[in-house]
Amino acid sequence: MGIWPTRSYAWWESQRALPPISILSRSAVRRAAPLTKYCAHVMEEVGGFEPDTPIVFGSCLGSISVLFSLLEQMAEDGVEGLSPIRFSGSVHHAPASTVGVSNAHKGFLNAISANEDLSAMALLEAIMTANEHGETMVVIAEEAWPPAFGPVFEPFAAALVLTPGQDRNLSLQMSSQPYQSPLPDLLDGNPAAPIQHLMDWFETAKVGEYHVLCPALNGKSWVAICE
Amino acid sequence: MKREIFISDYALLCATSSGSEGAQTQSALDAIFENKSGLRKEKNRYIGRVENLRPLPTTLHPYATCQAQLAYSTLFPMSASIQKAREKWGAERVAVLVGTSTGGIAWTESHYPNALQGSAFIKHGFGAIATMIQTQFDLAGPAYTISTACSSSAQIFGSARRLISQNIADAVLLLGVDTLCDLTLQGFEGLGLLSKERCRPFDIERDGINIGEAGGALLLERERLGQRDSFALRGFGSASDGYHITRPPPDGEGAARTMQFALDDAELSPKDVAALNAHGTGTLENDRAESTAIQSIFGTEIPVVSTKGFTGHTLGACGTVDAIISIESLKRQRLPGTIGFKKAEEASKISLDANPVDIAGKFIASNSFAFGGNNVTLIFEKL
Repeated sequence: MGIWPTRSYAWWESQRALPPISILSRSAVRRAAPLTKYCAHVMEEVGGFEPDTPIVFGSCLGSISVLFSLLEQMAEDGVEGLSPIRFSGSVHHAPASTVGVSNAHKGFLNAISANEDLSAMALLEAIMTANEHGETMVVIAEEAWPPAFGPVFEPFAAALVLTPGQDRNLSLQMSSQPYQSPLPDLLDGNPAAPIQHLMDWFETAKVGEYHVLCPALNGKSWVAICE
Repeated sequence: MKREIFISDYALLCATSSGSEGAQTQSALDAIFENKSGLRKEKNRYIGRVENLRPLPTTLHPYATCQAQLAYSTLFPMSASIQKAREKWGAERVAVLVGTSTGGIAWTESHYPNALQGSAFIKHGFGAIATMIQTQFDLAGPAYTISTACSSSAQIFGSARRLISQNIADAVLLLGVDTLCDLTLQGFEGLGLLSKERCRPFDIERDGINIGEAGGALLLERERLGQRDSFALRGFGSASDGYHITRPPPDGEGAARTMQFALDDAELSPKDVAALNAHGTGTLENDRAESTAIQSIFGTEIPVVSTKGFTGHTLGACGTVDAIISIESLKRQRLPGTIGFKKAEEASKISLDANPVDIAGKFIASNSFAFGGNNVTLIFEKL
């Protein structure tokens, strides 16, 4: 018996407008940064989580827009002390932990950052966590970056629930096969977005099949394998 | 199931380090065990600053930031051990895990807004340091960064053990690293958590934290090297408070649950643990909640220390920094003093001392707690 996603949901901006979010309290929604709202939406759509469900969050830069708003505040003369809400909202794991706090989450919560291989590294951590702790939610999300940080892309977020005891088993391996992005222009370059194609593959994958997920070091790629 | 992983080498670079790079770990630890603080006053604040960083080699220039330099300088003395692990296990079987809360924010804030250019991702990105380390040591296993604020580099121990126990890697190089930056200082200022004096963890008159920068690195492997003084990660526990983004619950329930998880994982009872290295930042609410939690799990007899008065609160680096100090405590069978501590609150009955004390035992626990109520307890064993 293996670990396989039993629920998954992805959202990106050009696909649909962000609907109202009920997984966050009203005050939390009011204060929430854009990335927190994206994460909350996909966590809600995938069915939410129990108080002890392990959560793995993956993002390259986290809430970079909040960080830049703090830098803007600092650039103003005479600022002594930043906004506590924005400062605590700028830490990397804030999107997932905000949803966690709103829902009295008491379980394990981890937050990953990586490079182009973000989706593979977050998924790897989530598979290992599910092996250790049981059913695990992984949330992979990236908001649009400031121009100096690289490619222009639209925001993307996805949540998957990895459940042990399934007929199929998901594993990841490095491969010498190069990665070629199948993503449309608006998502290409978003390091979270390769997970969207993987979700399509989950539906049909048979034992022995593989899917080239994302780039790895030295021109290689990370490959998802159905065992 | 016992899932020990073995510590082959470690290195520390923090405010108490002095002398040449070959001596940076020993000098840092000697100062801590001799009760000498590395905090210095800068612009009306006490800061734990690291001096004399090693210049980056040309091959690593694309990563050139103060965080990259601190990472490189921390790891340099471990080069031989890392090379040995690479030869033993193969480059693809050695993983790299970095724990950081600030990443390259110091670089970004110094270039904001007009000097930010196309290379900003490789300077700022939290994953960049993990890639730099792979390049530096020619490693090719999984490499990623964990960023859960002040528990970041404690969380990487759990991930390292998963990588080894699930046969994805045979060795994992861990680095906790964070550099001083204005944004962090201003952020804690805004929260009203910065002390203008030297921090006084667990003291009745404590009034906040001092920020420090540091790098702490450990090489964890599947097999024990066999040297006389060797150590293992014996237990890992992690849980969330589910209470508030910046404050712990007053009863320390999440912290207590985390410590119990670590004990369960290590298959130990509280009386087996010789000492506890607390998170102990010196803020009113955090120290109160933590001492309540320690009392509820370990009672009042276990020797407890906070080392934040030596290094400052090194944020994302404090997990590995405290791990190394904990391991050194087992090695020396001595616990550093909680510098700055004089008198506890009436309700706090935990056993603290401003001076080093002797300990006796094989196991030590180390706490790291963070924003979002993200808690980790590590338990180390002297083999």
